[in-house]
Amino acid sequence: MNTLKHDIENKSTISEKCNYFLFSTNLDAVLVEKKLEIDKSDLYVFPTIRNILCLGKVGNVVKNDSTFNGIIYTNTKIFNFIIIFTNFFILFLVLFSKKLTNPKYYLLFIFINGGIIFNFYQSLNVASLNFIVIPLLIGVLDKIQLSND
Amino acid sequence: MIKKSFPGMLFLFFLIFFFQSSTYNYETLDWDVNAFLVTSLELGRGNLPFETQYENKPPLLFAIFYFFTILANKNLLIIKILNDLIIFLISVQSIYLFKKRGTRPEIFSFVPSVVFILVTSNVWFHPSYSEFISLFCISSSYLIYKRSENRSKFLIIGLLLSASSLINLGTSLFLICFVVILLLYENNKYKKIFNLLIGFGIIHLILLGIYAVNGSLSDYLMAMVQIPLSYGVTEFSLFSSLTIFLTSFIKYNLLIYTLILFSISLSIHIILKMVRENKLMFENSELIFLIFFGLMFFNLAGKGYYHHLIFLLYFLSLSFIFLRDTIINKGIVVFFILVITSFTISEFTEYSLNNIKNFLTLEEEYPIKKVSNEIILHNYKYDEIFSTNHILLLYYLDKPNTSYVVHPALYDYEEITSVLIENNKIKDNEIVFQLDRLPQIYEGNDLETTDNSNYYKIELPEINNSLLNYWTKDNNVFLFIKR
Repeated sequence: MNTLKHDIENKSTISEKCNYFLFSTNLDAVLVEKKLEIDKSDLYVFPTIRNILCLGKVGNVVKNDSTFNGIIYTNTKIFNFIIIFTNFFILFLVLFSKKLTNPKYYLLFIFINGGIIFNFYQSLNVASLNFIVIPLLIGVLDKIQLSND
Repeated sequence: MIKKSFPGMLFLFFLIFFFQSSTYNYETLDWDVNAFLVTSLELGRGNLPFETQYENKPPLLFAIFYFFTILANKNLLIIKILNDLIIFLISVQSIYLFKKRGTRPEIFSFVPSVVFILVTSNVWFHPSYSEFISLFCISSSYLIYKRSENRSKFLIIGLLLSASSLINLGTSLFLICFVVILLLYENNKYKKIFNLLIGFGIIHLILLGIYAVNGSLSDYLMAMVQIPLSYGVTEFSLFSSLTIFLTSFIKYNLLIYTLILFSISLSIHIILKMVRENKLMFENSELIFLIFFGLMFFNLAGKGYYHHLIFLLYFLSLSFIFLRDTIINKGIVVFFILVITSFTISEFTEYSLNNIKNFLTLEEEYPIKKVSNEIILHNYKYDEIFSTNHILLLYYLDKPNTSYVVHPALYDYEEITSVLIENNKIKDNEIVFQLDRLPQIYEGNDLETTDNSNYYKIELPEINNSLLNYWTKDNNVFLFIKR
């Protein structure tokens, strides 16, 4: 599989849509090291569901004088929806069904949200942050039994 | 009891004054307030609101602003301070809302007030918005509901909610909120709801009577019914508007933003607890309905203006009270709030201290005040003024606008102008129509570009244009005198 860093070094970048996938932190390193400038492009996943595979990937990388330019495909709405749905779903599991113990809840929470932040942070915004923090706080508040019955 | 809470109240007053004074040097913080002031002067001329001048708010607001004008002797700076006093009164009420019976307010009772003051430290909430005065009525209603043993308390709550709706029509929504609370939480609910509705209806009927006797009932109904109903067709996304607000708030102050997030989490936690335990009767759980209706107010207002969030933010601030009876160490919460307060104070120090130091000269430096003094000084005739920008000129010179419309932005609101045209209050092209009538003074856009030979531009006194308004928009004053 072609990697972005490798292709830039060999001057063999491919100008195709969503050709490269890099974890966010690795992408940051490439941006600095290889003078790559990327622009965000919002990609709709309806009606072309296949576009979902492009989210978080870099594509259309072209050499431009001494720098490289590319596009990263993002969709804030879909990730916000995923975050709010999954976070509240697992919160409901822990609050209402008791099938999920608290340590498992926190592990699952970190795994899901950490994964999204690590791989797709270009698609996130303040609302995403709220959808991560609020369910977490609710979970913590429930643990310490807030309300006076 | 009040004596023992005095240091705490003094602290609240200091906080409000310190934050709000940071913008005292700007003459205008929001055009809305200027329009309230100009319209309020009609009462002094013996006219009822909407008879000769129109601003898009109910009549009681103008009566209050007229009262402020008299109290402050038309000093705009004093009027700003009077509004800050309203925020102070709301904060003091909040302390007594959740006080345990027979005890003096504990330090933790001040937390919701301090959170609210911190949220309103943002310049978006510095102008004297109608929402603050309405909120005072609504929080008074809530205080009476929580604390009073008076048999007529529901009648009084109705009167207060009625007053609120005559200050800001949208707050009628809170009448529904109180009906819901009574239905869910009270015994003998129908009698109480009846009393509430009687109280609400009385003031509205009195006002209708006043307008009917004066022969201007049609103006009242146009302003209070026809125009608000025409508002319902605007597009609005609650989710996007809230995201924009929160994004802006992060840029303002991350620490206060975390307080808002925490209060949202607290409220959702209580809602989930109600659902899980299928029980509504938690202590102070009626607050959840007030929060919900605060959100509904923002949604129904449908414009996304941040001042429409004042109710939601206030009730969210009150939600901190849910932390009181928990295992969380209250001292730690108070400590964190104090730390956040200290950081916020430090951000305001330079501007606030500067304004406090120059307090006595601030009003003299207001640019439009200087311009109006110049008009008087040069003996220009100013019986007819048409103003489409810096309408404070009308306030200082105590003149009505030649147009029925006071707020300059209303010319762009199709939903309002269409009703006003239909009722023969303005013409289709009102600005051109007014200029054709050749008023003695025109204040607005630069006429030189339109080759209007009927007017000449006058030399303005030396003014600091940056003090015209906080948002550094429209920082030019163009004043024309009829030849």
